[in-house]
Amino acid sequence: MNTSNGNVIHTQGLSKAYKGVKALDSLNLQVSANSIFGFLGPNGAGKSTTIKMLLGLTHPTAGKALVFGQDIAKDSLAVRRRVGYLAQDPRYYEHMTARQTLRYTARFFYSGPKELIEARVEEMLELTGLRDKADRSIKGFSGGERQRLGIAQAQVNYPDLIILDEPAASLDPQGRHDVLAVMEALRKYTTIFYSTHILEDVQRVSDSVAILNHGKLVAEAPIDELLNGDGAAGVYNVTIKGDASRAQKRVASQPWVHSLSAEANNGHTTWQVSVDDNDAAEDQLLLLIMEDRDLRVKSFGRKTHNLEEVFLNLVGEEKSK
Amino acid sequence: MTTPSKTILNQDLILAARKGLVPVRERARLGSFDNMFRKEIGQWWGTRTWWVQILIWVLILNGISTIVALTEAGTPEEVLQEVMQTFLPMSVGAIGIGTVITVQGAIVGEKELGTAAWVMSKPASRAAFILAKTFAYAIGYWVTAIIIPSTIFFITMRQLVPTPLAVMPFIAGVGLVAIGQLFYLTLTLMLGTFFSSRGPIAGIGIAFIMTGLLLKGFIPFQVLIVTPWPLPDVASGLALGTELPSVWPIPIVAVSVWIVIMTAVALWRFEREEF
Repeated sequence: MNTSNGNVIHTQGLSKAYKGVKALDSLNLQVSANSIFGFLGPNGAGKSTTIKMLLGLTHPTAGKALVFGQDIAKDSLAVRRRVGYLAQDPRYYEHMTARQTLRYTARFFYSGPKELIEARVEEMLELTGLRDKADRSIKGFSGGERQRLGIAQAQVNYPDLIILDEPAASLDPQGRHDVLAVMEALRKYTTIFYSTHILEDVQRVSDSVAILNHGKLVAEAPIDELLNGDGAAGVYNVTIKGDASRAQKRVASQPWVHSLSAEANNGHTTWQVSVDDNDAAEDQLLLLIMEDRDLRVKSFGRKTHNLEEVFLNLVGEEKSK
Repeated sequence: MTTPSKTILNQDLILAARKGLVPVRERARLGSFDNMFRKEIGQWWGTRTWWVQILIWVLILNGISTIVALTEAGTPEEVLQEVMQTFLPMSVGAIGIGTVITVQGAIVGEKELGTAAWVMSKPASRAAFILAKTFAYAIGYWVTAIIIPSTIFFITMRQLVPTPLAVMPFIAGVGLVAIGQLFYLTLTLMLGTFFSSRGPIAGIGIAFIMTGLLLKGFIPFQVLIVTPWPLPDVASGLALGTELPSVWPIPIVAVSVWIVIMTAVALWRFEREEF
């Protein structure tokens, strides 16, 4: 797979303005190969604009983007040969059947042999559970069926990169579960870049996440890093049984401890220790407490945020600026 | 949908089979033209469109010209002249209007519906998207509205009017109807790349045709000569073998140049389309 420094997608200062209004402002993004990359943001944040630029459907007003190391402006056709795309509101020719749509899609990539193209179409129909509706006109398809067809057509060319714009937005819980299962299964073969506002889905399947707000990137990190804090200021929760006052002084005096708050309740003390050095905290924090033989540590762990909390914090911070 | 484990198994098999598929030939300017042309032409010949179009044009063009042939009084030469001066000019005008009405949504409809964006997300060039429509609509119209009605007209007139009708001049006249149709087709497609609703496209196209039909006499000769408006008279003159003014090739050349220019403008504009 041709990539730019191991990245399937690499954008530099990618910007888009409509009549002077910035829809995307200097986006720098790296998406590594064989990852599931969640692209988060509220409505109007610039997610779809970014996706459309990567596919050559709209043109950047500034900056550049490489997909597989190829310039999206100069080599758009070559890029699209290796990409599968599902739009937010997928639309197809209403007079065609699902089978005809997949055959038409496959013909953008393969000239033959006919039987292998038909076999591929058949596989996609089976994968997305559309086999029994394959010869029905799309006109009568429900939103969920259209979405399934969208997923099928996005995979028909064995893409090295699948771009999904809100793939689960219009699906019921079972449909969402199925889409996420397909994404996880495809991770082995391809890179998945998808936009969504369903945070639960992102937390479940993504390796990395970027959060966009008002056209600006407000965070980009592996999901674990984002959920655990930024590493420079980790927070540890400790619940101790016994008189923890001496241990508290000992811990609070450590140079890597940023702050310590304690709350006593029913003979237990719960600490929240903010640290500047996670390695030091993981090596020493528990040992410092255990120096007091009378103390019993009932629970110990690094505080993790849920994605919704992180998302709301970051988007809220941006709003207050 | 299948379970994840089954999906993984399928993917292994699929990747093995992938090697047998032959990638399409890479063409930067006309990428996926074949596929899009096949789809466009299929909409003419794979649906009821073809016979509906034939029915409409035979009824209009052959119906009216046959009525004229049966009701016109005079010598056979006079009748033939009258019928020819009805059939070919009517063909240019009516087929022009038909083309504008049929083609007005060809590009706008796809932009509105979102299918153009879907197709453009595949390895398809924008030029190929426009040209596939141009060729498919031209072939569809030429066969259903020009070749078939003209053949029926030629056979009918040979039976109804006892005077010789030369084949080659008639073909030349019919050829000008085809050029006229191509002019209105490329005009409508070009307008489709500029506008985002059908109204202005149909309005401008039909107004242009009606201007030629109703106000031709008021238009300065230097302007008229470079428009498609003289084509009906030139077509019937060529078909009947009557003497034409020495400038008769100019509108044909001018319309051909307009066709090329409007196609180039459509390609230029569609390259800049934002989906």
